[in-house]
Amino acid sequence: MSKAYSNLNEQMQTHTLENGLRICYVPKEGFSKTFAVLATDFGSVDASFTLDGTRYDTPTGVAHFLEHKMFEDEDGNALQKFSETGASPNAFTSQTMTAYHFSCTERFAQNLEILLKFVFTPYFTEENVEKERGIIGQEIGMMEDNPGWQAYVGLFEGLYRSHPVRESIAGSVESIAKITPETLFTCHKAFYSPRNMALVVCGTADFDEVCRMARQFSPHESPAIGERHYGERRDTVNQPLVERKMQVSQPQFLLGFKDEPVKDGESRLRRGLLGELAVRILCGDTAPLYNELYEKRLINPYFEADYSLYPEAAVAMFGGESRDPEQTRTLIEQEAARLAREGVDPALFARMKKAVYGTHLRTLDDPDALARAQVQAMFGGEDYLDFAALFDTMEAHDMRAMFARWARSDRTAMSVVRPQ
Amino acid sequence: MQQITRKKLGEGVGLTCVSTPKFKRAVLRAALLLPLGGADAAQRAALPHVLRRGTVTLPDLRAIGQTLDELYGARIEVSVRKEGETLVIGFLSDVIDERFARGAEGLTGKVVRLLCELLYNPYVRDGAFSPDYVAGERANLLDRIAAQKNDPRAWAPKRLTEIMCEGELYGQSALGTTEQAERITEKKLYAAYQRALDEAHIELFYCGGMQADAVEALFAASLPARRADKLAQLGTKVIASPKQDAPREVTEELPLTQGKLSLGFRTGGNCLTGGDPIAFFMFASIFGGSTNAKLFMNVREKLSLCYYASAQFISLKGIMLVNSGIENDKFEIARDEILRQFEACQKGDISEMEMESARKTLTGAYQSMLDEPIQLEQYWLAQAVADTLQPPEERIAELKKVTRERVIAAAQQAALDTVYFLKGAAQ
Repeated sequence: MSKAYSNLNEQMQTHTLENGLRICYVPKEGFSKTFAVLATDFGSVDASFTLDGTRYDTPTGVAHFLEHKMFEDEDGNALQKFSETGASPNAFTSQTMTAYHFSCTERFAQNLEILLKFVFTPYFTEENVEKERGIIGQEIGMMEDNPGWQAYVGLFEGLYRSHPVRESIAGSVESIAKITPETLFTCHKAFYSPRNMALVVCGTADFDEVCRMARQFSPHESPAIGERHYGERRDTVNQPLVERKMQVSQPQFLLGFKDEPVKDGESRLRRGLLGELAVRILCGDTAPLYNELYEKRLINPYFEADYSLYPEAAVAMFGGESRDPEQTRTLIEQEAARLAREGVDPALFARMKKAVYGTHLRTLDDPDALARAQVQAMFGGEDYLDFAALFDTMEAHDMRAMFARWARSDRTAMSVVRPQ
Repeated sequence: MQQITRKKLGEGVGLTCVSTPKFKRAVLRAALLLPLGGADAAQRAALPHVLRRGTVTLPDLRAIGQTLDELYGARIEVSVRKEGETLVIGFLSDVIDERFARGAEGLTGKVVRLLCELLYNPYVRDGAFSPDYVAGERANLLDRIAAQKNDPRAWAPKRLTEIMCEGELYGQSALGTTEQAERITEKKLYAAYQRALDEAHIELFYCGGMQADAVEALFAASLPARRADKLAQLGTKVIASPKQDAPREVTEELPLTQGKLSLGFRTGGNCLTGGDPIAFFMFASIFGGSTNAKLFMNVREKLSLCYYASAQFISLKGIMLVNSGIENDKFEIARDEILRQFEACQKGDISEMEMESARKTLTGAYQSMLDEPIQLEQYWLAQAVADTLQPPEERIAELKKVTRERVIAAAQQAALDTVYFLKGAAQ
């Protein structure tokens, strides 16, 4: 299927293979490089699942461990195969997906073949799993020394009681000690089924050829995927304040508003855009409250605001460095309550909407970011480029409804990393 | 496809234009180039932050923020960087191309005017900056200096550079010192600003859909005339070999889980302006520049010593850094393995496959850069600082010609200068 977006001067082609693999191509005229990502709708939060009638509670960090191990095949490591063509390969695991990608300026077909082959071919041995434990152990050590990441993990501990988004993506040295080749095979079987995956190519390619190769190098069978368990859901937070001590020069904090998860039938893409607009209105770097906090020296240029969606969870986050995280929190919470009560000034709403639109338009220049956004959208049954049309449906009362949800009692948690 | 134009807009004012229709946004830079370090260092680091607080027509953050929102969320970010031994302070901006929004005519022109206003027409009262703005940004700078230790992955190479390049301008921080920062006042800063305007070379950059003449006209309309007699001398002193007889080894401690190991090498004079830089880029890539490199294959994949170990050629200064994160008790093993791989390169243990892989990796990186305006900005800034103005396409052509012999020769000219180990102390 082909869709044109004349207002954005973009187009995309999509196709779903018989085995359920979703494929999308966004041409980028004039670009030197082509970016391809093959992703599975399987992230760190999907560690507990039922497959073929058996319940599995796999160790924390298993999706990320699997990501590391997928590169290895019987005949060597895919990273080196990519390097030989000059491509730049990488992968990431988030709470919601595991994605394998490369960008290249030549020999696209050869690289696409490498990508498809290694992601669909599990090869795990006692020995190569053991070796990876050492490397991932060092990656975890690196994360543990990162105060921003520690604040992030702390926030989710505060917001959620049992939802697996509480756990650090890579797990801990202790949790990954329990991962065996068998665990990895089970997870691959449960979630690397073509019907749970998407391939997005952005740049210069022949769409028919991409589909033909995907058909050739993906499994014909498309087994049922695991049924996921996210624990019992609660609307209120687990713990309003989570504190840690680390090597930092001043406190780092992250304040989170626990929002309602995306409902059945609700557009995930639209919710994400509304959330982005709401965090910008509440305390984005051009918002009235941001200016006030900055002038009071409660925050500095390293302050950030973000809105994130997870399966059965949604969070608005605000954080950075502050001499007084408690006072900063109070002022942000008060502003959310005021916006819920009084609504958003129409002029402010209009200008913020314009600004968020500009942010997304700029994403179109970045094939990597565009492809990742499209993968996420496809997992929700949508297309990212529809964002422009969705902007026309966003109204000030949507904002007010969102702030009203945030402003209810026991919906915020704060994580603070304090100097030792 | 991409039209590169270099223009001189007056005394000490250079404009680099990359004109291409393929992007939906424009990226711009307006920056002052000054010698790194010196008595004004902290003031210069604080300066763009104070300028960003208010102008004659937009006196505070509210007014600036509102204007940026109306310009479809255009961004104007403060930038304080060192490029070789040159300090670069100013603003980086991006704005959507006016073709893609209703009623957005003249967007780029408005951003250019705002950039120039931030640089030349700040909010001033009684011959000084606003005391509130200066107090706030002085505190932010002090916080920033203290916060550098928070990120051990950046702190280790920074400490290595300070130790290795002690007595050289490159050993100094772009942020200045705490003592300097504490002494900043609104009057002193305003005077430092006036000096900076006299002494600085100004580098402007544009990447987007407009042609160079049109961009030049936009900037020309907003830039004041300036004199040439006070312009500072810019340049980077490249030290070809270690100053001491044997490599130095320094260990420091912080309360961390993971140790950070950084090694600093001199390059035998290979740098952007001398020697055989393209051969050295190839050597650094084979040694530690990709997932096919010796460091990745051996230190990470074979010995599982680390998550990352990579080599970086700082071509303006003519040094190479190797950075890695390791377990605290693996310092000797990791150091020795890194040096074993270094020596292997020097002995000529470089296969044809490694040569071709590095050539393709670097070629791919330069070609990909043509798609990334922010990377193009960095590339052309380094070119302007070095006064080389070599387009990436020329580098790609040179890569085709580099021989294995030249790469081995480049490796043989490199020498270990300093080993720095940031040890995670028991908590």
